[in-house]
Order: sequence, then structure tokens, then C-alpha cells
Amino acid sequence: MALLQISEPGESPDPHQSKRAVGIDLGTTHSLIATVRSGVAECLSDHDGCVLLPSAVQYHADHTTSVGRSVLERRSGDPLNCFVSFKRWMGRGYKDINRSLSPYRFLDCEGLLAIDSAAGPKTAIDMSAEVLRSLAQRAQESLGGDIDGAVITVPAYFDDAQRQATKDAATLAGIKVLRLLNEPTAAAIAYGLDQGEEGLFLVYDLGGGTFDVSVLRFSRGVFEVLATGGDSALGGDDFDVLIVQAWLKDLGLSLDSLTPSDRHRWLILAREAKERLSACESVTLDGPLGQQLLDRNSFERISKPLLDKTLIVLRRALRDASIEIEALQGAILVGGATRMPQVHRALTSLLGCPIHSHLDPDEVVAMGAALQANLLLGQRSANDDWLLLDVIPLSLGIETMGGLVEKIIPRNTTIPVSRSQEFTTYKDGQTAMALHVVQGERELVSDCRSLASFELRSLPPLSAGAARIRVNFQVDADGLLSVSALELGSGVHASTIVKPSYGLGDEAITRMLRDGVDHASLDMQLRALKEQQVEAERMLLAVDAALAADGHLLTVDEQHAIQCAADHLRSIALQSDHHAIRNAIHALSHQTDHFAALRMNRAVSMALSGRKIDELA
Amino acid sequence: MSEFAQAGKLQLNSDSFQIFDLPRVFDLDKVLLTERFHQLMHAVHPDRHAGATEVERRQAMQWSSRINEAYRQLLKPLARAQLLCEIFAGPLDVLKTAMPPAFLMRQMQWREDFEAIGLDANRLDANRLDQVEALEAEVKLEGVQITSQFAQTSIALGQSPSVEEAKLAADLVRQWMFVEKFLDDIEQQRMQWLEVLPS
Repeated sequence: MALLQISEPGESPDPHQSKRAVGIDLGTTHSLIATVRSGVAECLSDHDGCVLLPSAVQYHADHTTSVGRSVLERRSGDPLNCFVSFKRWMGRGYKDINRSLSPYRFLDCEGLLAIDSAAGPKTAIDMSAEVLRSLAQRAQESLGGDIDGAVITVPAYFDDAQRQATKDAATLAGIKVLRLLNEPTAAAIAYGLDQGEEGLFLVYDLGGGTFDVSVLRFSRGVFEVLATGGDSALGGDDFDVLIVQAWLKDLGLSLDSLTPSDRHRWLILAREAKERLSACESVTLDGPLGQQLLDRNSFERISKPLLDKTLIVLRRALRDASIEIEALQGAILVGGATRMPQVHRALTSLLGCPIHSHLDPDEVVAMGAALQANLLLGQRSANDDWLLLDVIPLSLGIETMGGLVEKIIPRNTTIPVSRSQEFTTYKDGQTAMALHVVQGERELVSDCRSLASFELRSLPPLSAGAARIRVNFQVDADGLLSVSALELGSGVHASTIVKPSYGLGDEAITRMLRDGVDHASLDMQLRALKEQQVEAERMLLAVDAALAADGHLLTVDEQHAIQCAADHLRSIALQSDHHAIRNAIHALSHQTDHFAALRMNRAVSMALSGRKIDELA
Repeated sequence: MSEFAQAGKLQLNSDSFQIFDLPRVFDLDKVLLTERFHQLMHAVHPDRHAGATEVERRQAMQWSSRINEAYRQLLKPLARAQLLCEIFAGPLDVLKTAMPPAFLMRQMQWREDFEAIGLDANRLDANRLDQVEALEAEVKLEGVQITSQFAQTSIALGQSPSVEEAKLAADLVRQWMFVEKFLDDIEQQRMQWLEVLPS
């Protein structure tokens, strides 16, 4: 026995005791679990030899649960208790979901979204936990024991609420999460190690329900994500819907008029047509109302808008990374939907670099996650070491007066990251301050996703603007945010772990970035107005307080002139002309110049008896 | 390794040059910077401490946050210049400086030109895009000139400045901030155009 055990941090001190590390791809349509055996990542299969577990859950009245393929088969017979595509509900509130097109009985559990089932109300977190449990069970049987730790993948474009929900699901399933890993990054790990290439790469990940694009630099064992972009509500499923819509249009029908189980039948048919078109030019299928035809040309025509949407996101990510298309060494295709030939063709013609798709696009994410899990449990071999540097996908900010967002961490900042910003009170004697944390690219709070609200209480009652409240945002390596606030004078502390709150419609997050740009000039106008109104309010409060305290320093005429200017501003501030408000502010501040000088002279005279630490230091 | 780093005095609040053990000068070796960034991150990233205690993992997170910030600060020329000004001359907003009138005029002219080109994405044509590109090139050129002027200042060379020199450097940094802000605005606009233009 060794007297001393020397090991690197995180490395297992006993090389013979191998840990069961797994990678889990928790997908919209299906999920996978992978592990590393003899240095090679491989997906684990079920008893029937299938690696793909359909992300489908059925709740029974006796509180038992079914997961996977059998649920899909029974779905038409029990549509209200069988759930699919619930990844789209992760981290979403009741108000976020478009409930009209869905057969489910949605419930509002204090803002959180739940769906009634035979076994009672269930959330997307519950459903995801069932899928995770089923995968963990598979791994346990295959590896001969409980798993020691898992890396679970999420779309790179997932916001904080969605990431938190994913982590909560793992907690529910009793799985130790080593790390949440972005799906494109996981795929890059699988490819990078496989090929040993260096340089700039782009990962294009079109899954069942989400789209991600990441720009990465590989160099000597470092995977550095330079920028990421995406749409958390765009995926292969949307292509299926387009096919059904086209078929129904020819029959004089619409999707809304179908019963849930009919709609479901059509969608399955469309998916089959889409998948078969990857290999042949046209297909004929037996549909509910006779034979349905689809050829590749018409499919590509009707789905072009969706493909174009992904290319816009791609070009924006390249710009965010300050990378020219010509600098790319290659692109990696991930996600089952990238099997559509038009995706390969569009990327080849746009990028002009080699397109890699030789690893199974359904399996590559779970494989990369398994490699990362193995690394995190300290089971890397000597030559097999790497470091991942990822980014946050959406800007984080805080609500300031007037419903505006002050961005504290911009999108595509490398994580972990910590940033602080100081805020102040706007009323004399203010003793509490509410902090509202939001995520998104737009300038108005109402257009961003609300992440959390908390309050800083027991502030020392100071004059307006005298309190200094430092708000700190810390984002960890999983992309999860925690916020703390501190009043610097008194040391009053408030902090929160950001938990999902209630915000915008489901389509909102996908629109946020685009809209942030689309409505830039409108936002600017609104922002300018709000800023001026806030400024006016702040100024009026200050002037009123000053007059109340030190009005005696002025003559009656001087007092009257200031009062007139203040009244004028008060009336103008209610209107929507920000130029007029600004002018009125200028007029008032001009009118108070002299008063301010008098007050300052007095303050300086008084200060000579005390001392200002700031100035001495 | 410098005496400073060797003595183990590095703290979360050490300045970014100290953290990277690089001389406090504007002209720095970017390859070396990135190399050290990777080295530092290899040591402190939370993934390297996945099995450590919570306190250690917290330290890892704080340090890697600090190093990410320091890297960003040293990598971006303007942020680097601002940091040098702060180190050698104190906070920028304390140094009361005035913009040269000629620069202010140019600045306003750019804004006017930009607005005159038209912001309506629906009426966009190749001609307008060319105009924006030309304007952008002009602003970038100004940025390059400011950068090279700043690179000659005593602060940029890592020397303690006289009051006059500090003011000059701060002036340049302020002008540079204007230029960057304007280039950002152009970029924002371009992002919007990406939406409507065919590839």
C-alpha cells in the first residue's frame, strides 16, 4: 500500500475503482444515454437494441408511469394522459403557453405550468424526470451499478429558467448532475476528439424542437465557444407541421379543425414522409383520407422559410463571433433534422467548407456528454485532456426605473462570469428597493424574460441618490445565474438563487433577439421617453425636497421662478414628447443653478468641519 | 515569472496585467496572452475541480470569473487602454477633459450622415449599403488613428504620466469610446438588415 497518494484535483486516487459516468441527451423527441468504455463513447441500448428512447410519458390512474415507445403506441387511445415534446414547456409559466391548440388540461400552479393527468397535476419537470429515471435504469443495468454522475445536455439557446428546470428534473430523478452542457458543444467534443483537428468550426444543430448554432475554436485541448445563437422553438417538428398543412390545404381542410388524435396521425405520417425523402425523390403514403404524395422539390419549397430562418441565425452568430465565413475550417451537423438533404446543400453553398456528418447526428450529443462526464469524474487518460470554455446565449440585466433593462452581462460572454453594477435610490428616505432580473436582448423589461424578483430591505434612510447598492450577477459554468445585492454603506445584503418566474409568451424567447434588432428604432424612442420621464421624476423629487429644506436661502421671486419651472415640467412629463420633457428639464435645471450653488457653498462650508473619506483616499 | 506572482500575492482584486503576469503596456503579445489565459483557466476552471469541496469550487468559480474578465479587458484594445488609464491616472470620469471641437464636429457629421442614409430596412438597396460601408470605413480609420496616437502616450508605454500626458491619454480614450459606440450602432443596424436581405 502506498504511503502517499498523489493525485490531481478531481482525479480518482484509486485507478482501479472506475466510476460510472454517463452523458444524457434529454431531447424533444427522443433521449439517449451514453458512457465511455475503453476510451470510446458509446450509446447504451434498451432490451430491444434501441438507443433512442422516445421522450414520451404516460401517467396511469394507479400512479404508475410508462415511458418510451409503448407510450407512442397507446397515445391515440389515451391522448390526455400521454405526453410528448414536453421539453418545449421546460421553464415556462402558465401564461407562456399557447393552450388553444393543445388537447391537454393546463393548470396554473402559482404561475408554473402544470397539466392535469390521471395521476394528478404534472409539470414538464416531472415528465423529464421520468425520462431521466428510465435512462438511469438502463445505465444501471448495463453498467452493473448506480451511476456516479451525469452530464446532461441542454440547447445552447436555453435561458436560465429552462436550464434550472432541467437541473430540477435531474434532482427529481435522483441523478447527480456534474454539469449542464450545451448540445452543440457536446457534439464538438465528440468530433474534436475524434478528428484531432484545430481551428474554427461551426456546429449546426437542428433537433426535433430546438435549433442551435455555435461557433467554436479548437486549439491544443481547449474548446472555446466564441458565439452561440438559436431558436428554442424551431425544429424538425415544425417541418412536419408544414407538410401536414400543405396536404390538408389540398383537401380543403385545416389543422385546427382536426381532433387531437387525427392531428397526431397526420403528423406521424408527415414525419415518415420527411424521413423517407432523405433517401428518395418522392413518396406515396397511406393517409387517413387516402393516399398522400410528397416529392422532394415541393417539400423543399414549402420548408424553405424555416431553413432560411436558421441561416439568418447562423450568420448572426458568425458576426457575434467576429468571424468571416472564409475563416471556417468546417461545419458539424447535429440533430436528426440535419438528415434533410436541403440542409446539407444550403450549408455547403453558404459556407464553402467541409461539412462533417459522419457521426450519427442523433447520437453525437450524448457521446460528447459522456466524454465530458468521464473527464469530470477524473477518469481521463494522460493524453486525453481538454478544457471547455462556453458562453451565455442571452444577455442578463436588471429592471431600472421606467421599465427599462440595464444589461449587466451581454450575450456571448464567456462563463463563469461575475459582473457588478451600482444602483441608487431615487427618493429621500427610501428604505427598500425591488430588484427584477431579466434575460433577453430587448430594451424594455416587458419584452424580456422575467427570471426573478427580490427585494433589498432595511436600507439606511438616506437622501435620494446617496445609497449605493451594488448588484452582482454570477453565472456559473452551467450557465445558471445567482444574484446578490449589497448596500455599500450599511452592508445590508440580499441575494437570490434565480428560480423560474413568469414572463412572456412561449414564442417570446425566440423572438427576443430578433426583435431586439427589428424594433431597435421604436425601442429607442420609447426608451428615450421613459428615460426623460424618469429623469423628470427624479429631478422634481429633488427640487421639492431642496425647496422644503433650504428654500429660505432664496428670495421669494427666486423661489417662485423655480416653482414655475417645476410646475411646467410636471405637466409636460405626463405627455409623450421626450424632446419637450428634455427641454423642460433643462429649463428647470437652469433655473435651479443658483440655488444649487448656494446649497453647495453651504455644504462645503459645513464639510470643512468633517471629512470626506473618498476625497482623502 | 515576476517577483509579484512568485511571492504569491495575486488576489482576486489584483489588476488584470498582474493576473496575467504581463507588463503594464498597451502593446502586448496576444499569442502569449491567449496562451496564459488557457493556462490559467486550465488551473482554475470549475470543471478542473468537479470533485472538490464546495468552498473550493466556489473559489474556482470566482477565480475563473475574474480571469475571464481580465482576459476580456486585456484582449480588447479599448478596454486595455481604459485599464491603463485607470492604473496610471485614476478613474476616467475624474480627469476632466474636453473633446477637441474638430472631433466633436466630425462625430456629429457621422451621425447625420448615418441618419441620412436611411434606417428603413424595407427601402434598402445596394447603394445605401455601399454608403454605410464607406462611412464605416471612415470611422474605422479614425479609430485606427486614435489607437496609434494612444499607443505613443506615456501611459501606453507603461510610464507614469505628467498631468498633461494623463489628460491627453484620457482625451484619446474618450474619443475612442465615441468611435466604438458608433461602430456598435452601425453593427446593430447591420444585424437588422440581415433579417430582410437575401443571402
